[in-house]
Amino acid sequence: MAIFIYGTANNTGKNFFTHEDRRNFFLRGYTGHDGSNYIDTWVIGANEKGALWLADKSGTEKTKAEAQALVKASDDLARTAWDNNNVDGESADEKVARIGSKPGFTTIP
Amino acid sequence: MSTYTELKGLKVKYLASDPDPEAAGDVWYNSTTSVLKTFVGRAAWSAGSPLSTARNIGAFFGTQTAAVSVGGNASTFSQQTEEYNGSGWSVGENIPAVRGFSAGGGTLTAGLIFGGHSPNTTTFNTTFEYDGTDWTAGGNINTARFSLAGAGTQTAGLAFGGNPGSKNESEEYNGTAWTEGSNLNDARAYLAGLGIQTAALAVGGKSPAVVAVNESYDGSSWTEVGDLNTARWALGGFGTQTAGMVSGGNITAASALTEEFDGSSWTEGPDLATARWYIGTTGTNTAGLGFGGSVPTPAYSALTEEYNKSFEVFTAGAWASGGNVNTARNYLAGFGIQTAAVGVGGHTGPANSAATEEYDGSSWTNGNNIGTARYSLGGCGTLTAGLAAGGHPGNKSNTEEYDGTNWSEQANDLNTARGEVSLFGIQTAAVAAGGSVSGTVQNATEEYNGSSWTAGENMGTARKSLPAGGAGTLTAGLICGGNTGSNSTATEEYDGTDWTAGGNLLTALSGNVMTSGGTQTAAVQGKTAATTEAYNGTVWSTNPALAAAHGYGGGAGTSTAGLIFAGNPSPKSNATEEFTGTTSAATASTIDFD
Repeated sequence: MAIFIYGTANNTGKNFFTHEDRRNFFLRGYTGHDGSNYIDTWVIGANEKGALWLADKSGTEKTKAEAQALVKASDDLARTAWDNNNVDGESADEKVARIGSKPGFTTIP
Repeated sequence: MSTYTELKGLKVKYLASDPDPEAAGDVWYNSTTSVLKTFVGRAAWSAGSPLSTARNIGAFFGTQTAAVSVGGNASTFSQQTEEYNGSGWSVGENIPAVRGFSAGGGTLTAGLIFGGHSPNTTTFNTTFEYDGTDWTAGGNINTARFSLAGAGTQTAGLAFGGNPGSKNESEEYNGTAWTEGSNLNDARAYLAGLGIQTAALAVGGKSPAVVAVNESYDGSSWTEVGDLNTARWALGGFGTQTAGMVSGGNITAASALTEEFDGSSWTEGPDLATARWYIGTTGTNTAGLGFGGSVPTPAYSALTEEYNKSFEVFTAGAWASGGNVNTARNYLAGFGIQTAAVGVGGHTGPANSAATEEYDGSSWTNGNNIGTARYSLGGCGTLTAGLAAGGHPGNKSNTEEYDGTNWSEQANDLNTARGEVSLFGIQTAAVAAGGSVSGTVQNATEEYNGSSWTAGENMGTARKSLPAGGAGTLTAGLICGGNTGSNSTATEEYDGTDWTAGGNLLTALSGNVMTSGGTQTAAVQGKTAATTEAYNGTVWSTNPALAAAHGYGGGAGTSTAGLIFAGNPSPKSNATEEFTGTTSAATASTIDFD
């Protein structure tokens, strides 16, 4: 039996997920990118309430590989942005001090 | 027909409203709603804060509000001790050597574990005793074994069953040495143990067939009593011989089943939310705890569930989505309460922000801009009396006050211009601590009295990346985490004069966000979508997880009504999450004669 459902749904804000939702099923949000736009990507506990939540939010179910690819695309953009964020004469340490370490890759559960 | 008075010797109370509960079984007539009512105890499992490290095959002992989880397997065999305080798990002293499949007994301040197995082929006969702080060696059990069960206390313990070879030996501990007792009738391992040395149960297990056998010990001999309804192994046991509980285990797959024993037979109770085997369990049949264990994927669970049988309905703490901020950004400052909060400044990606937004508990509305656009500034106070100071780029010293409508630049700026600084307190009694000056970490402390900043004692540890890492007041403040060159676990407490060391964070973090309206003895902080942490004035413990990451975001509110918003290195987040702590409420039931 699958442990998680994967999907995308736009976080519309207040009551998008409630305290009750959080008690009823596992929920983790990640930033994904579909090649054009950032897209909220969710890992949801695979029970009836979790599945209903994704449907109720007009979400689009994804496979784990599809969800991971969306998150990786977002990570790639963040890493590229970090690579391109440079100041003339700045050392590597100074760059890290200025903007932090290079973002890593996120592995979804 | 008998009357209530004849049956109970009492008259039913005639009340206009439901009374404050005194005990389950109280009966009264509510004259307003015209119904006969009572407080009925209901049993349920509810979510608790997860272990800091997911694990199975650990040893365990204690109560629902003072439990201990020891060792086990967390992808590798573990020495770690974790303690539960009824709200979350904190880390205790490691046991002297890694081990799994041990058994335990006793309390948090007088506990013990015995037997077990190493990652290789060693089976242990050793005992370790815990006093709530330190582990010390106890007497060795006579028969080395693992996957055994335990019951009793540190000075009156009981060990029985186990592997290798499905053992039936039973031994008693007197606080110093183990002596042989009567053997189990049914040799087995992976069984549950509960009760005390003179009144214990040995329940279920494997020998190698999975069994439902239940044996009762009276201090002299084991006697077969009522079998479980469902045979299983690697189940958890808690409670007493006449009010016993078992939960979880493995039938042919992970089980969520709970059964309650009344001294003669088992009845079905409410299921665990998450089926698992090798679950840790402690407590009583009215206040129990289940944690960790094995689930199909991933193999190791950190999940904690609390079992309560009460007329009070317990609602676990959780983070829920709030209204999205209008300007997605990070490195902003936050202050205020959950229903009257402010987010100000930050970085939007292309630009430094001067934007101010106010939250009313549902949505964010734009306010008037702060005078100096900046990021990594500090903020504190309330929606109608706020304070912002410092920031980047360029090591800002600007101090501005907010009245709920406008920001006003103050004549007297920070003495040490800096960013990544933490502010806590109120507009007329605030503290600025730490931060960075051109990337160099700072330990400088300054105090604000509503008109000017004066130097306070330096923090013990210089650190930056603290834009939302503080809480409390000028005379009872709190700083945690940050970057000292690397991510830090260090916590420091300020009393208005001196900084002293507090309990370390469970996980080293920088860019962490604190619900800035928290106090020195009740604070919550987090960063990633993993577990947040709660502070009780002494130790940090696990707390319910955010749904998404908010590092370098803004924080407001308290430890029971918190707010974390925006943040993230890239892309910037506009999401808000609201925290509500655990609550309980007495619930009266209507007596229905139909």
